[in-house]
Amino acid sequence: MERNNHLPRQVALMRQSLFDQGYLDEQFVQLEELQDDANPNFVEEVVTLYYRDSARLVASIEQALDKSPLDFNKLDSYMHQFKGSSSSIGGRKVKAECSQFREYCRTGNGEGCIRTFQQVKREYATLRKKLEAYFQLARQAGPREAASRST
Amino acid sequence: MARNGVVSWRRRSSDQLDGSDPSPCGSEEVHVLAVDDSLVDRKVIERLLKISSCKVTAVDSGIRALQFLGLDEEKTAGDFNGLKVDLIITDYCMPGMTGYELLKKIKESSALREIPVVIMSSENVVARIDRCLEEGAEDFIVKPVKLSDVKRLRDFMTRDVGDRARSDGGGTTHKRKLHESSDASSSSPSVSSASSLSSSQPTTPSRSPSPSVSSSDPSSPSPPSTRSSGPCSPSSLESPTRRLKMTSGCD
Repeated sequence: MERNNHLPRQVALMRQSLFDQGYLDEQFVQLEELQDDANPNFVEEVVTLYYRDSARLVASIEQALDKSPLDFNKLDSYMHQFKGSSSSIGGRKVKAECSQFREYCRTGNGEGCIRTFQQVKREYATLRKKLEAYFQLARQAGPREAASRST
Repeated sequence: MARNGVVSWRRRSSDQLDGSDPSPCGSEEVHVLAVDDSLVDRKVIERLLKISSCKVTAVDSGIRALQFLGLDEEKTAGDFNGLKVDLIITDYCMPGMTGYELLKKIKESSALREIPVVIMSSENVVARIDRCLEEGAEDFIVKPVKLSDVKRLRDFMTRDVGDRARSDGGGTTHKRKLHESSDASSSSPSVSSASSLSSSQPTTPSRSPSPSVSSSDPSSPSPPSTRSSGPCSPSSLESPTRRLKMTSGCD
């Protein structure tokens, strides 16, 4: 099977840009540190699990935002969980939007919550696309690249 | 749903252990019960523990944790020893029974109170940390949990397990050595040595931000910035428990 010799570098560059552009933080590196030959896809597994598991939270928040009056305690509780998971995978921008949302919950600012939730969803979707592209490229480059550590 | 990690019903021989395992007698692997309602966090903590040479059982609630520990089935300490748990690490915020409530139940049980309990929380709230430590928690880790956090716990646990095996001749009592004042000074060096391994990244000292996080404001949020650069994430490497023990002198 022919290998593109430029792939490893492309993978590294793509990975670095995810950090440089603020999509990922140190926690993602922590997850990468947990990969080895026996568990070469650990990070992708966690990220996949995150998107699958948090989908229900996103739906719950969406539903809760449709209610009137807004139940800020419930919204905050959902968002606390969502923020926690996002933090665990190193989703920096998602996590930041979650924090903003929780601030609005705290101050009872419904419009702020609704507005910020659009941001949350946007960052959540963007991160997913970028990580999917990254994992796909990393897989093409070969197992060693998929398990690459921070430089 | 609960996920069970590897649970050994018999002691493993030393040749099955990770070569880097510092346990002096080499015959006991640390068995950790991890409790977290988040599926993602369970997966991560399980991996963190396994990669640190611990056996892991991961459950999704305090109720299941108590079931696993045999607390709700009127089992005696004798029955319990078959599933020897060396450390319980639990999330604080969980639906139903919180990590704090679980901690209390464990400390109220004569069969289980000796097991060290570590609390994890995404919220760096001094009042919460204090409450947990006062209730007998061994340590408090701010999420997201890092490898250095687990390594620090692991080193403490392994030393504890080894000491127990030496002093008890392989007995399975779970002494919380940190709470014996005579051990406070002897535990410090191992903290330093464990911490020095993680000096390249900040660990999770929850007490340090006291100057910037006032204890009268229990709802102060953790900053959204990355932990390595945030002003509320100093890189002091001591665990809050040790600092608490040394400054307040309480046991």
